[in-house]
Amino acid sequence: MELGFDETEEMIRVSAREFLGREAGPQLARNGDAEAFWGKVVELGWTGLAVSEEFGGSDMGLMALGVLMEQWGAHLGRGPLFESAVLVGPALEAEAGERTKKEVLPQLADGSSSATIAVLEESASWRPEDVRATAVKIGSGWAITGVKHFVSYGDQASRVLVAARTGDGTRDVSLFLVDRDAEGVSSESLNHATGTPTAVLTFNETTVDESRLVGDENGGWPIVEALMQRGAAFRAAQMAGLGREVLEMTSAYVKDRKQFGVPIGSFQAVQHHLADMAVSVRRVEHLARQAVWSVAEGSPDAAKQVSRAKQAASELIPQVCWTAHQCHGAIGFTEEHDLHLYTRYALAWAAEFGDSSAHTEKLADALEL
Amino acid sequence: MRFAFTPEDEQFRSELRSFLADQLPDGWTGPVDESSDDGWALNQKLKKALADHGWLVMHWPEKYGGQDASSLRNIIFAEEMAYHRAPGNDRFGTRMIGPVLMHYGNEEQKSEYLPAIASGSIQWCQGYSEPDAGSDLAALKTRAVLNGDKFIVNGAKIWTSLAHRADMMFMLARTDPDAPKHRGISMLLLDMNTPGVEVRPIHNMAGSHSFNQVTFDDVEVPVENLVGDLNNGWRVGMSLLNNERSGIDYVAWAQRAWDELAQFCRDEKAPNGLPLSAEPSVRAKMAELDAEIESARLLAYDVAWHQEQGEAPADVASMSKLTGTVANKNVLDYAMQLLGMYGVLEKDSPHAKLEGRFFKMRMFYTSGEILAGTTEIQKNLIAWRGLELPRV
Repeated sequence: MELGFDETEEMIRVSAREFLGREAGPQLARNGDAEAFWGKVVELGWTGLAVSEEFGGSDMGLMALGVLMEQWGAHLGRGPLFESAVLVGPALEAEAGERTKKEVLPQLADGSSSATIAVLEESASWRPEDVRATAVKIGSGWAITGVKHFVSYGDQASRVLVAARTGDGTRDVSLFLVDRDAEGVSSESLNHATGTPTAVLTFNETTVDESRLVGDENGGWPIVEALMQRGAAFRAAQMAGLGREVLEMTSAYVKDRKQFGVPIGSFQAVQHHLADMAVSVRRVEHLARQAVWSVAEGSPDAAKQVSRAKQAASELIPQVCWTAHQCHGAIGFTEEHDLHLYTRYALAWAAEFGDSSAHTEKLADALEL
Repeated sequence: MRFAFTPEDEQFRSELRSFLADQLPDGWTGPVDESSDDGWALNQKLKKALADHGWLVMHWPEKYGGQDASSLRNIIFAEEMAYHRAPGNDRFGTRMIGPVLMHYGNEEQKSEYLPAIASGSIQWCQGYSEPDAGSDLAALKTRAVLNGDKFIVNGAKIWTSLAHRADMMFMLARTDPDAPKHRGISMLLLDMNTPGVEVRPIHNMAGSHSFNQVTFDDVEVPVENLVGDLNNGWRVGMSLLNNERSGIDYVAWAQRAWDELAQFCRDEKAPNGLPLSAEPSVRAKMAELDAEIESARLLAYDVAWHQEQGEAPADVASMSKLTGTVANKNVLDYAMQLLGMYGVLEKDSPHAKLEGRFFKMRMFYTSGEILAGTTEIQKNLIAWRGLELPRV
């Protein structure tokens, strides 16, 4: 049991905190130059952190990436780091054919291209039976038709990992890595409350080469489940980081703000709000780090640990934000104050990769109830 | 980071489990009722067996008969003992006064008491709370007046667990009534057989005699039983509270209750003929409680991990105490809800489910959020020490 950061993890944490504190945060979230920011992120090599050396990455592993994503969450990082480095990169490394790996992974690692996933459809459901998009074999490849919702960075990413139905069985789903600029792909922007560029992508007989089938034909669903698990663990880590940031903002505010001639943080009613926030944040930090660790280690307990973390994060972190608003009073209700930016992300992330009730159900299964 | 114990630690855990399986009566579900002679006999038997095995004080330094066991190994010990509802870890001796004596005691005190604690042959109780000094412990009024080579003690302690079983009490008494309230207190060691000590039972709402009121009428305590410096008792007395404030016992009790309740849900049929565990609301609530227990467990490990680094973060200890006791309460609350009409049938009822255990536990563990610093006090400490919010 080693609950502190090791040397590498601490180095990543400190440098990420320093860089993101300066370059990201509310300023970037409101109207910063997202493209310039992303350029700097790429320069730092973060896109290749967990890609193996063979494919041009620095092979520091998922735990290191988890430490980074905690800070990315705390500072509202912008750009497809989560999509490329957490979701698509490891999926390709584990499941894609050699040709695709050699072609695509080095680009993801050096940031010259990026990728995202397109699994969910209008139902926003993570059940295999709700994948309606289809892929039909044609010649030496496949033609994909269907509509994918909630595609983060769907217009910016160079490639999209698409889930499509390839058979009649419930789980007969396959994954394809599609070029974003391929023919037959059109997009509509979703107006996402976090400001994250998010699209509905429509595929109309979009063709991909056979080599872009990721995993086996009809073998895509277990890969999607792994994506969802990894996504849930890392979203929980981002929510832990965000919660910590909101706690610190609120703690600073109640020490500064005076009413009745004293700082409001000297009132027990306010102190107990802050204590509750601190406990919630610490809980989520531990559970999220444990979840990321279990995923990184391929632990047999990963399903349990990830669902515990995401369930708790989805319940507690939005609550931390609401309590923060309460402690900030009227100023925290304004557009000009930064607090709501964090709350927007907390609400979005609480719903993504399985909300609280989806994960209680998964956890109940894992606990053999 | 690493969220797993070493193979050696896991080995220790399984050895301890087999030991407890041997030592505890067949089908033991506990918890022990120390008010009964049988319960107390089991406590003493286990305490002795643990001492003989070298485990009772394994967290102590070797020179005092321990094994220098790591804080993490120590927390595994506490976790397994609590999960098995096994009595006999003698926390007053091994976890409270023992470590205090190592730090503040003089050589005579160490050689007199530490071997007795290590061998399981002495029972201690803790004389802190008073009728008018609960959360505001420093308001305590029990007076100790130095008269020649002895203190004359007058006053009263309350909520004193095991006072009726104890050989000795470590107590805080006011030795300088004119000093500011934290600076006029001293720690004394009192032989419970001294004339003038009277122990009166207090029965708790769960129906057992676990604690007492203790009164002192001109009780003489030899001056050599002063621990640390005169009027430095607040510091001495507080040094053990962080040992008291790990929530691991409550986490393990909560886990055991959860496991029993989960089995009940798998076995028990709802009116629709399906097991309770197939009900979506039951599944959701049980899973939520599981995640709550897991987070409380990690917080308890966090306290041990910090101790292992030589740090004593008071806010983490408070978080652990708070989350452990609340998780335990929440599991028991849900058990009461699930058991419904049967939940309030007591142990001896032939129709009681789960042997009426959950009712007794729900009643008893009302004390969790009150003792060793209430939940509200823990929140104050988290705000003051962890977040550095201003104290009024």
